[in-house]
Amino acid sequence: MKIPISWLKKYIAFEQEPQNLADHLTMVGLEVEKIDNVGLNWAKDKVVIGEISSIDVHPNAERLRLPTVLLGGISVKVVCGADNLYVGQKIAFAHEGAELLSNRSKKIEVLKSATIRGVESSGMVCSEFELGLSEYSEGILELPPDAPIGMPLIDYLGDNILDIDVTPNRPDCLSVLGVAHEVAALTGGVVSFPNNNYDESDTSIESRIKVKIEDSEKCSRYMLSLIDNINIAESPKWLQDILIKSDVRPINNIVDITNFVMLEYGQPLHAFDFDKIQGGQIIVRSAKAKEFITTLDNQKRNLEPYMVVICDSESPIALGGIMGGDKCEVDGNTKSIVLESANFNQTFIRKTSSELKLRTEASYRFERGLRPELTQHALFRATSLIKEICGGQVAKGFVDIKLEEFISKNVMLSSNDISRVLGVEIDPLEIESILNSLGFSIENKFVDGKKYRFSVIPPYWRSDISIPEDLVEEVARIRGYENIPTKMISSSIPSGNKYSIFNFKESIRDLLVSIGMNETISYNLTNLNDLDKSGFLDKDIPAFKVLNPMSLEQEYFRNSLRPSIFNTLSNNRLLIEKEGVKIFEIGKVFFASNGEEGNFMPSEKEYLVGVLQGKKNIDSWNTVQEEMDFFDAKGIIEHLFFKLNLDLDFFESIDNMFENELSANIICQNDVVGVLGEVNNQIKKNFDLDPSPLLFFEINLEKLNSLSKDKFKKYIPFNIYPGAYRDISLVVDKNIQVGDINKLILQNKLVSESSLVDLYFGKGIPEDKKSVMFSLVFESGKGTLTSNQIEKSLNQMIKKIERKFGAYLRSSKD
Amino acid sequence: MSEVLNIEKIGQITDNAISEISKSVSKDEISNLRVKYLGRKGIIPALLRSIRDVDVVDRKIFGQELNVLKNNLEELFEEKINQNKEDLYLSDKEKSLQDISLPGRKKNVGTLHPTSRVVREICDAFLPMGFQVVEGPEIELDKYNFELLNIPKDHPSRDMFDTFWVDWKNDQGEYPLLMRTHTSPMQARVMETTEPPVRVLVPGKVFRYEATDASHEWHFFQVEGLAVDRGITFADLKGTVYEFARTIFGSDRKIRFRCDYFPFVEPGVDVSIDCFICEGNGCRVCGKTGWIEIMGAGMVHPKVLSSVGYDPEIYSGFAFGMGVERIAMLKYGIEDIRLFYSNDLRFLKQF
Repeated sequence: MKIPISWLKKYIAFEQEPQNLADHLTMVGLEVEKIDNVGLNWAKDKVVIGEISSIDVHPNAERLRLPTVLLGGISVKVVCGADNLYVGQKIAFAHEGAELLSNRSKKIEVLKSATIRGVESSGMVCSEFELGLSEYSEGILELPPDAPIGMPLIDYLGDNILDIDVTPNRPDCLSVLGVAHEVAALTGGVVSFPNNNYDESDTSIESRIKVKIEDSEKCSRYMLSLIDNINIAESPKWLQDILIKSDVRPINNIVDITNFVMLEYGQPLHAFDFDKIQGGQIIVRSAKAKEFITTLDNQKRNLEPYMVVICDSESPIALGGIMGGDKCEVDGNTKSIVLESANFNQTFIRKTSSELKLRTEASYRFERGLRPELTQHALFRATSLIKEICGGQVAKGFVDIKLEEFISKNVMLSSNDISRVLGVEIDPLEIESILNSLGFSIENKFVDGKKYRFSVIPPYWRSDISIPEDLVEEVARIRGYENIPTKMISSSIPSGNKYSIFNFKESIRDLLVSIGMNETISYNLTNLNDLDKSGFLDKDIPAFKVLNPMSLEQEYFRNSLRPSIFNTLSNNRLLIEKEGVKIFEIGKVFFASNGEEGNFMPSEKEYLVGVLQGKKNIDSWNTVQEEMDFFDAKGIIEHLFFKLNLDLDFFESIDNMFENELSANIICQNDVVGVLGEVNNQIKKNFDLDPSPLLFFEINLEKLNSLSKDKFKKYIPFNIYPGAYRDISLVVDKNIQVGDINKLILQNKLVSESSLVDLYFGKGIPEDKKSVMFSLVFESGKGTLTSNQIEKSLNQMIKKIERKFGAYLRSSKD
Repeated sequence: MSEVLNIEKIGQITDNAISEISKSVSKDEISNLRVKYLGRKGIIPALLRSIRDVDVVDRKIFGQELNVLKNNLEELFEEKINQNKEDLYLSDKEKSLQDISLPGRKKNVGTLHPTSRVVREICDAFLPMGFQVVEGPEIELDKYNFELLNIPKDHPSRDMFDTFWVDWKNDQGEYPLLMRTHTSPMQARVMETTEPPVRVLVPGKVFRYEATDASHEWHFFQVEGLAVDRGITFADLKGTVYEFARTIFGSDRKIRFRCDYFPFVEPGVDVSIDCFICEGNGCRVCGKTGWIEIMGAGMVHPKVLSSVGYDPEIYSGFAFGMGVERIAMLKYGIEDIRLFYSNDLRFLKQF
């Protein structure tokens, strides 16, 4: 909302500088986003008001003229190209050295004297554009005839315009009077209301037009006045100025006055050409099926039954509360008008304007909810201005159709409300003074020392006050929140939930970061192409999408984190050469699941994905570089599960995203919780990834979290007897799984640890075989083992392995 | 026949050895000399082996002389090494590494996403004040995102939340699902399922249908806070937020509350801290105002309390909500919000 300060001052006197006022308004809830300075560059001695005393012809140029400008005491002759000059005209004159917007460069430039086609010109007569007033650069700015000659233009036209971001609860502040009331509360000033009086003729309005409201749910009040013999013309300069500064385009005096009063009171108005209304009546009703109206913007609008229309005896003439129709439009030939000031239901207005995608200044105000009491004030003010500016006769009386009298609802405010909400006691006199300064009246009061109880009537322009808390806010914001003490909650602390998935995710983040992985976060929305590229399009789980996507790139909810992490990897593929990439993401995936009544419902689950690709270490001097492989990824999963105290196993996986050999399901408590594997070449190609081995893991975190509950790590006491170390080196068929041999070794009761320390193929080993070397720890809780006991146990174990896996000791056949 | 040993020869070898050893500088030179004289195929062992060729009479003397020489050389080598340990003990390769300006070997350093990091910092600031973290769905029902928060259908306050709707119709042909526009729906969800007292924090992703630029993303994070109990007042909100701001932005922060509007609180405020960059003097970050907005807050609206079955006559509470990226941008001096989710590791690895 644009509020020119010069205009605001017509309703409330104040001394504050614009910035100071803006700061105060911002603190009480009217956020001033910026202040436009009109005439910021008009130096007092450089840009002044002048009068054209004579106009000579340019000796060398037909289109140029040489006006002489009176500037109070002196007169100057300059060159001017504008064709709207006349003798006696008041204009804005710029001396040499003035800062003006240049027509050519569109930037501020300092005016220099120049010789134009042989005639010297020192100074110029300015256009609106040159003064920075508008985009209009044709012709010079014409000032009103009473503009004082010689006065600095800044004192006459200069202004500061507040640009206020009005919150949706304050439609009253979409008007200069609403803002004036706020200023009054801040400064202690008194708002002066505009003149609403006018003379009426003898003919009564009732004999001329009848009004009926058929649907009072949608329109609670409908008022009209009627003015005959008006003179349609351009509005006076002062009115146009205010409209322009408020960002409203002047049209003609009638339309301008309705807009002006809307900006003044916040009540939208509409004028109909009376002679175009058929049947001498106006009906306010719901639209009928298949009905339509052509609105003033020349659009044919199909109407729905929830929309409200203003009709004459034949057809709709306006879309109530939003825009007039072309049928009864005021034009240059209009002689009589009826002026509408009505109250429309906010919900239906919003629904209608959303449906028709037609947002107007009127609908913007109505949908925020206006008080029906406002209609009469605006109607009388506009009627009075029309009579004053457009002439004519106002018919006697006015139409006022309403269902019932509007009675202001009292809102109670007690000392208890204040201390209950704010945590501080406030003196009843201070409360009363603040509320009065905002226009509230106290109808009833009970005061007993610090205890009090007020019955408060909100002013007719405020539609946002209905409960005690609303009044508490009024008091608090005007008084200032800095005057409320700072305390700490003193009541008991609620009990907690240590198994929240948030804590679980935080642990996982820390674990992965601690082993050198980088966390990424990406968008929840993706597209069919990316889902397809990661093989997730034709899964059993249907992907679903956003109704109103911003782009086709981000249309579908991701049903997997795979496209996200592969895209992230692809964006960073240059790093793979240099230092390898180890990244993970924790986030939600979305899919349809069975709802309560068997129908599909969108649903979401928390997942973890990670990828590793490229070098194991960052390149450094004297370092041997290796590429990461499947077992680096497996090691991460093992680390994770160990630290989370979860049991872990791996089974072969059938996920077709992986190379066949190197993929596994991650198993926890006999449940598949995720997958791990080396990504196949097709996926790498699809996402334009580096061809080097790409390791991937994915874990369903909600499942894993549910398995991790109530698991505490148990301390295992050390063995007090020393253990003995033995290495065994075995040769087995290549297809025997090392994990199976290890499991068998660990079945031996004396073996407390077994780790694979070497795996070898090649020279010295038959082609279909591999050599595996385990390092074993033998120990017992009962005493130190003798070498006999160990040898015996070891021999039994080797025999078992030989039998089960067809293995033999490497040394035995060397 | 091998060369006949004589005493002069031993003397010559002794002189040579002593001179060479004394001239030697590096560990490598010394060990080479040692091999030359004392090694398995070295000069002294060769002489000792050749002793059988010496006349029987002289053998004993030569043997003694050679052993003395051998022992002397052993001592010399020992001495030489001990004397110059710091210098000579290092191999050439090791010496070349005696350069502390060589860079340290780089480690793969893991990093949390800056958003996760700041979410954690925010939560950590509130946890000591008795708050607990809960999370909610990212796809929400209109009911929780709007209606229970005093934002009815066809209400202009919905303009404050440009919404992505989910393409999914219910049996009534309505679209009841949306991508949550704020973390506030969890206020209603928590209160619906919990008896007071309530003190929760809700971090999470939220979504707004708006064009992106350096300061706007359609996808960002918020942290919501809610405290409800008997007797909670605006003064408690002030204290809680003040404590938070000091933890996150420094202990000498000033704080400012100005009136603002959010449909689910009354009174509603916007909270600013004094600019920690210019100390309140006015700079680009604070828009020359000296103040930086960090969150919206207020007392939970009585309508919200009653809509979830809390009696507003008995219970009261406050709520607040803040944008995580905004706090991260302020803390780390990040100037473009789009960096957060474009996942460039050159950005992510800085945190």
